[in-house]
Order: sequence, then structure tokens, then C-alpha cells
Amino acid sequence: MNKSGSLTDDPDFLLEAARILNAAGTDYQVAAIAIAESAWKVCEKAAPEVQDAIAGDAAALRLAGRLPGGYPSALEVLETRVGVPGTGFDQAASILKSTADVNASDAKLRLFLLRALALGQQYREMKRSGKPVKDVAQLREHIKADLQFVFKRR
Amino acid sequence: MDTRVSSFAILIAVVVFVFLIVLAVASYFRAGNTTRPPSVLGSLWNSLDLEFADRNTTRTLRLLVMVMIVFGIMIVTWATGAGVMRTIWLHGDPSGSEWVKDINLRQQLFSPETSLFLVTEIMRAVGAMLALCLTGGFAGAALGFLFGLPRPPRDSDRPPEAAAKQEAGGGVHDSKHRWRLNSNLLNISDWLTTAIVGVGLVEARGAATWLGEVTNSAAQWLFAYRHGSPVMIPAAIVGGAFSGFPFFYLYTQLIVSGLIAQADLGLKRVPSPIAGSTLRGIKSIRQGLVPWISRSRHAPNPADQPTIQEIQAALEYADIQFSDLLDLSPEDVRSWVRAKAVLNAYQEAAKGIIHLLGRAHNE
Repeated sequence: MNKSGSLTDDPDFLLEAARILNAAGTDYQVAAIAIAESAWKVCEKAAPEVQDAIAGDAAALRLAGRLPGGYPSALEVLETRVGVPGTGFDQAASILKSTADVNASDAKLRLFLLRALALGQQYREMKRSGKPVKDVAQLREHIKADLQFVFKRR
Repeated sequence: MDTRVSSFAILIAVVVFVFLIVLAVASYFRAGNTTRPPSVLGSLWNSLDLEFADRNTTRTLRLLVMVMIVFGIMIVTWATGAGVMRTIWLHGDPSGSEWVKDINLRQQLFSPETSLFLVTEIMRAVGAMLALCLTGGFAGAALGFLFGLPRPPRDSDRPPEAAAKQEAGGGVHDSKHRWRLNSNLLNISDWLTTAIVGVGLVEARGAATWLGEVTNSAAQWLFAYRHGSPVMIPAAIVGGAFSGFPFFYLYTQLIVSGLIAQADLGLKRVPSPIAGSTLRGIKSIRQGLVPWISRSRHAPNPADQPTIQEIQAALEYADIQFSDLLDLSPEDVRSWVRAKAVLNAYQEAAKGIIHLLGRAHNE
């Protein structure tokens, strides 16, 4: 808990607040999204696992279409925590090995799953627009790599 | 007195008695066996038809109410008879009013004038007797209330080690109190009951004399010492007092004391520091606290669930309402929010979050 600063700058509190408002139902959806965005803006002040959790929520909101930007915006968010598609596995694997906190590893693995989902949306769009087969195949490999990484550990 | 007039007086008294019994029974059935809103009489009966969670309490207090009702019916019956007899007596009284004497009771027994005078006399007698009875009842009730109120704990009641611990500041119990019930009335009742018992023992004879004088005066003013009023008036006052005292003594001990204790407990119920630290110790990323924001609106329940300790800590906050949050520090409000979240009461937790954000914004 951030005791020195204001609650509105405390990423831990903002993460928790956004999740609670989201869980409270439709009456609080707008507030939940706004606070999740506030958490994302002050994310750097938080511990790594909290940053992962905040990034996961921010990406999920974009992928669900509850925040504008769609999958490109979600990929931008995820890139800050796990890198560009096809990367980030080694670093994540060492972090997962060093932590016994199930929630921290869940938050990290969730980022790869969300990246796979974002790439899935991109894949569908590329197929629709008739992009070269080579690009589509590469994207499919990235998705497979992300999913394999997650399911190997869960 | 003429035999016909005497029979008439007895008849009136019997009719009133039977009418009151029938009225009580009818009100009982009307109040208990209908889904319609109760009538005025039904509501009156309902207020007397006590019902408590404890069966023995209900039976005891109902018994006392029944005794009071029977006593009241007897008083009303006597007063009715006394009203009739007073009408007849006034007719024959040489100092009575000319209007009364002008009425020939033998010939005009059912005339409007006689009936009006008779009804007025009955109402006067019944009203006066019930007022006296209620006065005695209220006096008894006040005493019963005073004697029945729970006594606040005295320092001498505590074991020496507990008192020493409290003085040293180690009393966990008191340190948890934010609010206390006002115990001034309880203290006053404690002093008053002691004083009443002390003074009452010394002044018992004087009190009996004073009561005798008062009842004699009442008998003189109301019935000119006739129709057995010197006996019935003290009986009504003392009977009322003796009915009111045990009823209110038991009611205060069995019901009011419980309510006072419950209210006091409610004010004292502040979560323990351990509960607060347990809740504050929950990591914000824990899905056992609140699930993450999912892409789907119908996300499955997370595998991570709150521990038993966390649920127990959360339950300590269960009695704190949202309206009480103004009295809490931001840290305590956040613990309250977490307690609600642990118990999946997200709507309430969300209100707490909004409250916290509002506070932070205003600071």
C-alpha cells in the first residue's frame, strides 16, 4: 500500500479499485475502465508482478473492445511487459522459475495468453484482407509459441 | 331502594361485564384470524398480544397482561354499578340537584333525561376509576423500569488483575471501543433504586398514611364515600401499581436490557487489529480478493480463493455499514472494502472504492 502518496497515484490501489468496480456489475463499468487506465498510466511505480497484472487488465479491456484501439493497442501494452511477438520467453521463464507466488506467475502467463489472443485477432484480419501467406504463417507460429509457453506451465 | 331500580342496576352491571368479555374475545379472533388490516380494537389487542422469540418470556408477560385485563374488567364493572347506584342515590339525596330530584325514577326509568344522566354518571365513574388504576399502574411501571434497568459495571465488580491490566492500558476490550452507549440513565437508576429502597424502609408507615389520605379524598370527591368506594379506590390504585411493577420490571429485564446490551455490543463491534492486518496483507493482484478484468463478462471463478483466516477477518467487518465509513480512517475503509470483496459483496465494495476516491480527490 502506498502510504506516502495519494491513493489516486497508487497503482496497487488503482488495480484493486478497477477490478472491484468491474466485478460490481454494469453500474460501475465506466468507472472501472477509467480507473484501469489510470492504473496503466502510473504502472511504472508498481512492483513487477503488479505491473503485469495492470498490463493484463489494460490489454483485456482493449481486446474486448471496451477501450478503443483494438488488438494493435493491446499489443502495444503487452509489448512493454513481454516484448514483441515471438520474444520474451526466456526472461519470463527465469522469472517464473524464481517466484513461488502463484498469482505473480499467473499474471505473467496471462500476458502471453493475451498476446496470443491479440495475434489471433490480427491473424483473422490479415486472412480477411488477403495478406501474403508468408506473413500469415509467421503470425501463426507466434501464436503457437505463446500458447505452447503457457500450456507447458499450466 | 325500589326493587325494580336495584334490578336495573344489577342488570346494567352484568350487561357491561358480558359486553367487555365478548368484545375482548371478538377482538382476539378478529386480530388473529384475518388477513385484513386489523380494526382499531384489533390493533389495540395486537399491541397487548405480546410475542417474543423466547416462549417463556412470551408466556410470562402474556399472563401478566391477562391479569391486568381481568383486573381492568373488574374495575370497570364495579364502576358501572357505582355509576348506576350514584344516580339512584343522587335522586334520593336531599342535597342533590333539583333536576335530578324532579325525575321520577319509578315512572321515568327509561326516559331520555334519566338515560343521559345515567350514562354520564357511568362514564364519570368508569373514567375516574380507570384513571386512578392507570396512575397506580404508571407509578408501578416507573418503579419497575428503574429496578429492571441493567446496572452498569462498577470497578469493584472486576477482578483485581483485570482492573490493574486496564489501568496499565492493556485492556483490549476498551481499546476497541469507538462509541459507547450513554449510561447516565443507568447510573441514575442505580442511585435511585438504592435511595428508594433506603428511604422506603424508613418512610413506609408515612407512605401508607399518605396513600390512605389520598384515597379517602378521592372516595369523598368521586362517590361521597358510598358504594364501597373507600375500599375500591385504594384497591384500584394499589392493584394498578402491583400489576404495572412486575410487568415493567420483567419487560425491562427481559427485553429492554437485551436491546441495550445489543446496541452497546453493536457500537463496540470494531474489527480486531489482527483482522485489519490480515486484510491489508492481501496482495492487490490476488484473484482471491477480486478476479482480474477479463475479456469476457462471464469469466469463470478463479482458482485462487480467500483463505479461512481472510474470510474470518472479513466477517469481522460484516456489521460495519457503508454509512459508518465516515468515522473510519482511509486505511480502515480500504480494509472494509477488501472485507466486502473477500465476501464477494462487490457492489458494497465498489461503494467503498468510490468513497475512498472521493476522499482522496478532496484532500
